[in-house]
Amino acid sequence: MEKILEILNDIRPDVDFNEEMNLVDGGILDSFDIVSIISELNDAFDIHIRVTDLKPENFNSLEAIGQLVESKQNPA
Amino acid sequence: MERIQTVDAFEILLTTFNNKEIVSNFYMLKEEYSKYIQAEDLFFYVDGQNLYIYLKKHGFLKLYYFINDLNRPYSLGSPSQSQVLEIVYRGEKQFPTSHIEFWKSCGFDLHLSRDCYFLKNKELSIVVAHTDIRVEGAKSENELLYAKRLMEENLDLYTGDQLTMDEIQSFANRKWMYLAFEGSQPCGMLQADLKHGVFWLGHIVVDAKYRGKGIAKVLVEHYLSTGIKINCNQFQLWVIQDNAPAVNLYKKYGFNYLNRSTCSMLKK
Repeated sequence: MEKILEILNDIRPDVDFNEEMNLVDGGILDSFDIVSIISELNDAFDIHIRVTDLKPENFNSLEAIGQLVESKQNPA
Repeated sequence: MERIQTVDAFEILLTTFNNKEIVSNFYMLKEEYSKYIQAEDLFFYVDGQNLYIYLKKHGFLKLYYFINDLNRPYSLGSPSQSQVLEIVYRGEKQFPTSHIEFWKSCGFDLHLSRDCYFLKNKELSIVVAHTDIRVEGAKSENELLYAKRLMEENLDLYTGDQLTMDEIQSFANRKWMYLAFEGSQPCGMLQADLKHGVFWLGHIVVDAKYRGKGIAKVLVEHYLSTGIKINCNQFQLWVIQDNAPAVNLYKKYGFNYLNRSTCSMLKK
């Protein structure tokens, strides 16, 4: 989770990712941010988050992003 | 080029072409593309392993791409409208060279680049200097038309700069549309917006006849003062990268680059 937090803080240093639980639905992250985040996560974790994973529920919180990364590392 | 009929059909296309080593500028969330599909504004074109998506805008097409094969030049016959594409990137170290080279080889020209700047300062205070320029909320129809004309005559036609009269009216209703006046003459406009705790500087234009008189500074100070009055301490804006006077003005108030840029390319 630390590595994800580092990526998120680098992209949006103005956001407190430990506190915010409504990052997309609350309009804090927009689609530009999410594309940047996906690109960084794909590179950092050698995973493939697809465009169809661009759902608010996957990016609304640090925890949700962590779960998405985990699901891509260990596909069911 | 075919119109995208349903969200399901579009998502099948995305799943098919969005491979891991993709070169893409697509950044729409489902909510956005669903809206465009419903409005019958979204089209696609498949060329080998590459997928191109077109969003119909007023007078031009906005182009999104999923390029799996960079050796296959973009070959869509010339649509009757200009095409513009926008690439988002994070700072110079991630400059999208491969995208730009591909599109240049396909006849697109670099159009303009923008950087996003951010200011967060709970202690921010603005001392407004005494000046002959005053700033007021735009109210009358003539004032709103003046703001619209300034934007049309001075801002980019292709990358989201233009506001409709309805949008201008809506900002004026919310008191986020300001005009600068010298005497009784309007000489500039600024549009702000409050979104999710961030006070955005959306548009700013100084009338060409009045430039060099510090009017942009007066407008920006009015915008920052308004933010402070409404207890907002986060400010954000996009600025054209090579507009040094504007960049320097924002930096003077403490704005910093937010590690986010866009580069647009155009084929007329």
